[in-house]
Amino acid sequence: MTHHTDLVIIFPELLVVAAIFIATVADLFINRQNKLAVGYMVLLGMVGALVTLIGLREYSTAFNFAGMFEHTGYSWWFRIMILSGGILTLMMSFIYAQERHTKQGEYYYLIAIATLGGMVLAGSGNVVSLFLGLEMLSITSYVLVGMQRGKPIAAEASFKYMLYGAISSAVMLFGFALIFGMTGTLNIAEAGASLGLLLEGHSSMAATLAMIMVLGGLGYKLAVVPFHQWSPDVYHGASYPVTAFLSVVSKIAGFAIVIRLVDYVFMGYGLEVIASQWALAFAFMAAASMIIGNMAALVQSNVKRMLAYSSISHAGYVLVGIVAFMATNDLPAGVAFLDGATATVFYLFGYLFMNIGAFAGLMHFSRMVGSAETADLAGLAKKSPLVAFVTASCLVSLAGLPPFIGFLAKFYLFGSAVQSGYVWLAIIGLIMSIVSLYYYARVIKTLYFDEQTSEIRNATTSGSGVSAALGFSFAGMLLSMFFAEPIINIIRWSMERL
Amino acid sequence: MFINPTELNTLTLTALMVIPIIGALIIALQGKSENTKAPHYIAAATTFTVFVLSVVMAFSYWPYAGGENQYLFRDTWNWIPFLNTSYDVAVDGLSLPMVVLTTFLIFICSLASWNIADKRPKLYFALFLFLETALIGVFTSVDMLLFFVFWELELIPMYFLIGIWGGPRREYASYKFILYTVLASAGMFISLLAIYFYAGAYSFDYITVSQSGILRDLSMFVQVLLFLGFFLCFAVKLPVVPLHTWLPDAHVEAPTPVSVLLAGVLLKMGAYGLFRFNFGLFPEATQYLATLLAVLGVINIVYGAFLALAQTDMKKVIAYSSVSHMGFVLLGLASLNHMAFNGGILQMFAHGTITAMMFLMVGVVYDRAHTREIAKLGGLAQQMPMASALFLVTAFAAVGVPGFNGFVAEVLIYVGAFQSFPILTIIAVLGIILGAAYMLWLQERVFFGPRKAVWNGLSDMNGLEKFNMIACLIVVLITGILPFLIMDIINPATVQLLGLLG
Repeated sequence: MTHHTDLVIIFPELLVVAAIFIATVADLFINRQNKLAVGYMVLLGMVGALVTLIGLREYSTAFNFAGMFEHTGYSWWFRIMILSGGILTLMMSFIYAQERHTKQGEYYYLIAIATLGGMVLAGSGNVVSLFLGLEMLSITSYVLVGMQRGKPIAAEASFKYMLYGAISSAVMLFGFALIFGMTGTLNIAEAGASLGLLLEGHSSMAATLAMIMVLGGLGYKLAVVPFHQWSPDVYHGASYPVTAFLSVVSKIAGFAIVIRLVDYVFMGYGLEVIASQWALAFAFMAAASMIIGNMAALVQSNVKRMLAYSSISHAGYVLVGIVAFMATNDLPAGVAFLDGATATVFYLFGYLFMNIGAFAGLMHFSRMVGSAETADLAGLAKKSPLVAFVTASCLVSLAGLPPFIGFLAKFYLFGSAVQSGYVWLAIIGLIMSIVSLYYYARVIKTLYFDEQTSEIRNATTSGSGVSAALGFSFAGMLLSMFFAEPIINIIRWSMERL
Repeated sequence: MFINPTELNTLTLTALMVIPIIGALIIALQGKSENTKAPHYIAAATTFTVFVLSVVMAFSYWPYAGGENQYLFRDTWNWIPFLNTSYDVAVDGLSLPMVVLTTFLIFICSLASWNIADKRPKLYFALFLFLETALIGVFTSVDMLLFFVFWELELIPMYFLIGIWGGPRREYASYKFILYTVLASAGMFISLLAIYFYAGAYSFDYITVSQSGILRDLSMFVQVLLFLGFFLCFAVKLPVVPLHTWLPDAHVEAPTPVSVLLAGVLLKMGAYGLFRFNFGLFPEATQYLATLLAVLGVINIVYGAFLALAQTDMKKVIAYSSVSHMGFVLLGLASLNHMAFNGGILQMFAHGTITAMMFLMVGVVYDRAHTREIAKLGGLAQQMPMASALFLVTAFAAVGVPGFNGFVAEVLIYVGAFQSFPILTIIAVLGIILGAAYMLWLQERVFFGPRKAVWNGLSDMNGLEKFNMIACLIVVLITGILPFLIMDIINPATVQLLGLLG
């Protein structure tokens, strides 16, 4: 473990850090009119980091900083997803940051810091670096939610988010403290393995309590039922790009940790019984998230709140994959055609594109009329047919209809649930997908079918950034459907190196 | 000019699906101007090309139809090999008539859309061409997951076509249509997963799964459950009473060309799926449930006919007559014998062409009178002699007068069904009598009777409308007088399926 490897494996992160530094300093010297340059600097750094990261695929598994940060196939793939999400968010941010945000320059590098936090989280090998990454992501998010000019609702959302976030962090931290106390190590893999044995033996209430606290804390961050109450208000109050970031990048980063914890604690030590018990608890959470998220989304009249509730339901779908992952533990090797872990990650990958695309498209339309009420978006498809087409495609994909990735991803998820014996969960998921079609179709209907009623206040385009974000989302959705095989192969490759 | 299927068989089917997509892209890339006729011409040219190609394919298939290998045209690409699912499309004697029917009706409908599509023509024709790809995909997919993809894909353009260009209650109708279909297809989805995991097929390849017999090892209870999962999906599309309620709404609200496609092609998807997947995958459950299917078929025939008799809206008469006529298809398939099978499939083709003519004629009347209320119409024959004559011919075809393809189909169904279910068949004959009644009564109330002063200014059919009608009529007559043209293709496929049923 030389210092040489230390630097190579975190080189992408270093590039993002460098971009943040340069942007911070440059921000001081660039005048108000040219702040966009700061955004481009950050974007350049992040794209460079992504390219470097992709180049690191063949680099073998490595741990460094005394095991604090690890470069495995798993962390590599999650860092790619998180960074891509950050880049797409940044692209759709430019126009919004110029119009809405008081501190435009800061906004750009806060996005980069939050993304960096997610990457650190995904690569963390130790509870300390895990917590560091998580807080880096969370604290910047609180700020990002709040920094909108003259919007009291944003300040309220930020405050709410911070309170909930701080409490959940505290709860989780206490859980980690208990784990440290019982296992004597901060290394995630070691602590997880010891914890699993404690849980299996039923020898320690403290182990169960610790697990509940950690998972509960993560549950808050991920906004799964019953830890979801904060998210609709926060999502509603934040600006579109920030909401997109929270619902996509933060979630992917959070699930990166959940999957690893589940793997370390429950898998591979002959813990099938205890794993299946916890899987059942996860299954109830998944079902509740899907049902409550979708049912609540059904009655929303505001597109942002609708997307907020729908993202609760999508967290539920992802949990279905995790349940399958935990329950397929005892399957004989070679039978696992649709393993839950790959299904989960594949779903997250598709979700990245379709949700960011939906947010970017709806942001474009609600900018046009200055309102996020669904009814005010009536007939706007005529004004920008191409954006409407991509937005509708994203919504169709979120509903799980072909020809986009959402269909295949859901198929894979529910298939893995059926394979692991959770047929009832797959059926709930299926029915809830149909319910979701109802409200997604309503937005499409409003855009396409209704006569335009609201006056267009902002006829200018949303800029090349939004177009690029939409274009990448669309291409990602379509290509990952038709070329699913190579992507799934990469994911399977990365999951083997978890 | 014909393609030799043994030499060049790979890309033909894919071409059928790719050409419309290319057409749609060309339309989408047109300039901003909304008031051009360019999309109309591009769509007509594209659909005509696809139609010609499919006819060439059919005639190339013909001489080889009786051979061992039914899937002469086949195209396979890897999609997700480790899931054992692939892009795998093929035609046999069962799907080929449906493909030709689709390409023909889409071509006719793109012409019939000439005026409707003046509102947002680019979007209209792009969706229209997209729909063609999805429909051909449904009828040619051999991979069950791919079939499911195309099955769901067809919803998207249909949802927009009804929802944007439809009548006053278009939103309600398009919602009802999409929710019914998606809800029902959940049944198929669950059955597919069960075949994959529970039955241990670990494959979505229809041919492999149906020939492996793996599903026959399941208990009868499970087979019936899986059968019903598929059946739910197909019954909504077919439509089987009482799952038919989306159909009158969708038909009435949809613009004329879309109604033609709904009745002409989409309903056939249900019957096709029933025949291919239910019968092909679960022969034992099929035999077990055949009587139930026959009873449902007869209910469809009689109930649909009675409802058609009671309607006051022209389009609803035709819509319920479709329910009735699709009942014949169901009865034919449920009879599980050679003759009735052939009749059922021929009836799918025949109904597709005849009902297209009916809806086109309703469109002709509606475009001029701006109403479909039968009570308000009357005496139109004097203003529109050509329309009146063509409507009468269509009514005869629908009633099943010899010479039209509907006659051949119905005779085959009745003779076949009588061997299996004599009493049910006798009840079903009521459908023919009622069919004659509502069709001729409709003709009488709309075109004959006292001349009404309001309709004095109406013009007769224009050239394009005549062309569409006559094109359909030629197809109906040719397949009615020379049914072997199509039977030669259907017959080997039904023989093969009967072999499967034992």
